Amino acid sequence: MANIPMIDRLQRIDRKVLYILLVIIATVPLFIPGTVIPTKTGPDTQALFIRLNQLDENSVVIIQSDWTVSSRGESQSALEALLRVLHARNAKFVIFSGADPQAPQVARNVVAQMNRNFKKEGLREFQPWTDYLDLGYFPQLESFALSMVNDVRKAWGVKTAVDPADGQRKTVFASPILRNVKKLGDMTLYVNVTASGTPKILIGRFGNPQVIPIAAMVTGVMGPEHQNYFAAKQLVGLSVGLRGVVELETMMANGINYEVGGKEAFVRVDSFRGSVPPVAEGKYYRAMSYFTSLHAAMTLLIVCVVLGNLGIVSRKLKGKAR
Amino acid sequence: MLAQFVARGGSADARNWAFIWFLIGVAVVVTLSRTPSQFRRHVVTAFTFSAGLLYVLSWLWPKPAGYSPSQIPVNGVETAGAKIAEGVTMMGSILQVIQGVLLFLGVYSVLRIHGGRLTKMRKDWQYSAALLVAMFTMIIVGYWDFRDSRINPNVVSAENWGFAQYAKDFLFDGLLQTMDAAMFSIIAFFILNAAYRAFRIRSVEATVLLATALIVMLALMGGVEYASGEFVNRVTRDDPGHFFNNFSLTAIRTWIGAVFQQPSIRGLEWGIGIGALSMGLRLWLNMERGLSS
Repeated sequence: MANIPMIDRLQRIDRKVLYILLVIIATVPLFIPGTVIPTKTGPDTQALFIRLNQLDENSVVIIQSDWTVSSRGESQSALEALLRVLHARNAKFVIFSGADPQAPQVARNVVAQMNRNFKKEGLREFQPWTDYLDLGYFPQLESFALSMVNDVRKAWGVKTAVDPADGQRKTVFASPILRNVKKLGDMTLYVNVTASGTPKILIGRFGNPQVIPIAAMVTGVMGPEHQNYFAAKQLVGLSVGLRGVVELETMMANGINYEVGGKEAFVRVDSFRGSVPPVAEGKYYRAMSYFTSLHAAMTLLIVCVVLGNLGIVSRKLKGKAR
Repeated sequence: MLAQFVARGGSADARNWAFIWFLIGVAVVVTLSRTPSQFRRHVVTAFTFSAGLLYVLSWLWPKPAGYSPSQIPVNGVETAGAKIAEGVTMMGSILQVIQGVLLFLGVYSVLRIHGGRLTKMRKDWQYSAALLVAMFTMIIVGYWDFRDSRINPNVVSAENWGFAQYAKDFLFDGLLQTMDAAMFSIIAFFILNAAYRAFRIRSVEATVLLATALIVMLALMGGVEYASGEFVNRVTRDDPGHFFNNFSLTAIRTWIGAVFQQPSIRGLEWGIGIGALSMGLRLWLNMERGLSS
């Protein structure tokens, strides 16, 4: 081993060493809370944040939550950021899943977790029936999306929830959130938090012009293909992966075109007239707490790629020298 | 009937009807399974064509601008359009029921295969036993929790949890979800190992691919991208028209995305779409004979 040149030794790192390095590098930053990495925001997340900040207390947002814990790092951060903004805007929401039978329970857990956080922070909690409705799971998204377009009252009509006023289980259309909803377009925004290609199904079925504006919060893997739909304005806003949620959190912490004490705004969007104040000034949430880990893991990945190629580069250089 | 079922949270009358329809469904399936395959094929073809026709018509039939299901049709075209829309909604419900039945079919299949292995004590019967025990425990506890939440809605709140809720929380969140997350996180190790051992610049194409991947990976790191932007701003002295602005990580990443990545994906999806359309037509018109023929 002692006679093996360094460059060759770097080519033969045992995979267990790499695995241990990855574990250490990815987990240690999780124990260092409060790290904020300055991040530029892109036009897709800016559009999403601006759209969300146009909601008011009469707005009803449909959240289709199509993820399970296999993409928790990205999707839970996305759903939490979305719920934070809805909470701040006092907008109402309807939540369901159309892709995975496990997803409704995962989403329910997130809402419950958010309520516990709000309670700790001394903020009001989301109340079922008056603030949100949980519709559970609808299989066969392709046909279900068409059913929603044709008649949302029939498509959701079989779902019930408990009216806290009398403890009776009633159709969800008796709730204050959906009482005045006659068609899908009576609601304000449709946000799909997903780890798969479900926004494409919605875009295809909702026609053109769409019956309701659609926004998507997708995982990093699904990002590039959804950028096309954002570019074509079929998605009114888009957040891609953990980076997208960090961008949202950056805007939630700093606002848009929002100047404090004469200092230049941290997020400046020249195409947007006016300003959006922060949701909670200077405060970052789950995605930022994972962002250092992502940086560390990416750095390790890049270093590994470079190390793996050092031998080839050195051999090529030696060959040329001869 | 459906409205009554919803309003009462499951009236006895509606349950009776549901049971009758279930029996009718079973009778239809049994009858079909006993008819000659030639006749059965005609039934399946007719059902597939009618169901598909509704969706095709719903796509092609003209709709009034700003159509709402509550509006009264003013002429024959609108009446037909409203009927098609109703048909599509009904077909959506049927498909949801079929999906539910498929779940039962899946459970039946698991039971048949693993039950058989267990009773005959074939090789690895222990795994089958573990699978069946896990499946039935999850079904029983899940239904118990669902039933409790129907009887007492307050049970949803953690302060009012009983045994079923703790058990479901342990099984679903404590075990299933955690194992799911663990399985997925293993991918990170494979990716790292593959990046180290397999991602080699053996050709010009591989070198271009590697360079592009490195730029995209660097751009995903918000801090690095921000630092690169600040560096470029310093060099250009915040002049937006300066040529050097094209060399910030953001500009390069955006260029790669807009010029190479997204058009390639558009091309791919176009091809996939054409393939799906042709496959859909073949299935709908019963031209797809399957591998056996």
